[in-house]
Amino acid sequence: MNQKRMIITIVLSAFFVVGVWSVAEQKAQSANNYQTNLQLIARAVNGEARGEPYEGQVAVAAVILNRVRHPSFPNTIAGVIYQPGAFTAVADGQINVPIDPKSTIYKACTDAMNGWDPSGGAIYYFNPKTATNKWIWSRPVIKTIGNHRFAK
Amino acid sequence: MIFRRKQWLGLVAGIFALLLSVSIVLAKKNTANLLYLENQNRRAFTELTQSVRNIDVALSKAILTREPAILNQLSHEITANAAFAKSSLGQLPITDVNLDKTQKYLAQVGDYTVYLAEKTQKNQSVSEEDVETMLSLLGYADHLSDTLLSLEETYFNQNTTFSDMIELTQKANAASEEESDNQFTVLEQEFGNYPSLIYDGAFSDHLDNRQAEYLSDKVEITKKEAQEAARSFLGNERVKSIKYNGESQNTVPPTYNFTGKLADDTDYAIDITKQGGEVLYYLNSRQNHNNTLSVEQAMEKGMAFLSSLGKGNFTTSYYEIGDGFLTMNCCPLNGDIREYPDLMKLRISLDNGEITAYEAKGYLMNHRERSVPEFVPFHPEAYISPKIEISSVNRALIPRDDGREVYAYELKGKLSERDYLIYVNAQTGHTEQILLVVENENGVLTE
Repeated sequence: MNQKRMIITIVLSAFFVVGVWSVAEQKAQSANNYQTNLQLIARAVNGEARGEPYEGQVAVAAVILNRVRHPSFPNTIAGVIYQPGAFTAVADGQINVPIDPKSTIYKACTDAMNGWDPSGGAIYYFNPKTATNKWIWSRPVIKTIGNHRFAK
Repeated sequence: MIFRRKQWLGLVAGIFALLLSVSIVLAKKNTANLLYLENQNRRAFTELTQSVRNIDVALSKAILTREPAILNQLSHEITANAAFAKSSLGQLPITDVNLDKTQKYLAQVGDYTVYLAEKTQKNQSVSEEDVETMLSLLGYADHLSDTLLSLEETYFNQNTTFSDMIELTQKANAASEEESDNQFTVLEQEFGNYPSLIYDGAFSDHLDNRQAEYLSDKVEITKKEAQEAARSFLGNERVKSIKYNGESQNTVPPTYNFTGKLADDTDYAIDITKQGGEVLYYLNSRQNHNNTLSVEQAMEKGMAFLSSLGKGNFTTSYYEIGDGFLTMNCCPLNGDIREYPDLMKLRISLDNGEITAYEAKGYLMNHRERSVPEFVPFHPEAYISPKIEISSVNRALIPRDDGREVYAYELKGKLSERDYLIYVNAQTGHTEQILLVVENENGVLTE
């Protein structure tokens, strides 16, 4: 009987520790709008361009920012990122998962937020090997970086 | 242990009951989630329809008034409703058609009426062309509003999901056409004839057609010459490899693009303009974890680099620091005037002062010989709170959202523990812009 009670106590305390730890992990680090935006953009870019060259990652982040300024898209970073169908990271829930704080993706997104735009002003991009959307193939192409073609 | 037949049956029945109850619970949860989602969609659709109707009504009033105060009020109403409509439209799960023309209309309708309101406030009259444009915008508002209202009727009279409702419209359209499109696709197509609007606003179409001022009198170079220019910018001895990566087209300025590795195996990318062989941008992906330089030392390296380019004098405005690098923004000086539209950006590594990124689009698009007009005498008290402590006054050229440049006095001041940058128009004395200067461990930024 004593053994049983001990096992239950250990299991319950394990749950307690896990619970507290997971809540502590969830506290977001947004001191201002800048941090929130950087997090959102980084997670979206991570979902779309993880294996791409550095220049390609900066370019995808720049596309997000170009869309915010463009009349055909929502006027905020959150609006652009959460637009249904726009980013795979949103569709599969990756957008809500924090990424490794040491990831080079943050540097790429910071460069884009500081004004670097290797996409040449693009508001669309697609992977010609996997894109099935007919409409996107009709957009004027600006350039190709890695696996992505950037277009207007 | 070998079970007897009765015990086997009991076990199987038990597992079956467990699975059944789990799937019932999951199915219930699923229904609840779908219902929640559908309610969100209904809310977004209703907000969209009501906002568009409000735009339609406000525009109908705007076409008959010439009074600045009324136009002002109506333009704010239109802008607020258009922003809300755009936001709601962005929430709806319409993924098989790109509603970029509909979105563009919503962006421009508010923007344009604000431009008109500002025009009348400056005692300029509304032209025939403006009236024509407003009538055209009203026509589109009518059409958009009618379409959404009739969709709303269908939607509310049936207990279907948003996606199903859209599909229903596709079937309805099939009755009349060969290729059936859903109602949003039809709507988007009807915006096909929407004219391009050119006016003083952030969403005006003329901003898409700008040319690079600095390059306008430069000669077009070959791919080979561009590669030489890239090597010379990076420093020949630092380049381990360089590869041509194609051109950039359908963009201003068009470029030849190169990538490669530096002597220390860092990957880099560099784009050279076809006209004039200028560097549009340079990016390398090196990481740095040793911060030995101070902010001042890093900025000195940056300024020295800019001097070596032979493009005249520069001064820095704000900077950002983090992750082993300092990113600084620099603008050229025309005498004592800081030309902010002609921005150059540098990213400097804090271990050895290496220039790891360079960005010159602002400079190449805008820099040119400019004749500076007379600045009116400086009297900020008329428009700015007297409680502000002004620490310095400079002269500057600033860019506006609508693409125009304006000469201004730049005031640095402090009020209630907050630092400000205030730009006062050099011709009228009116405030052009107020920026909040935020200084923290990430550097000095403006909001």
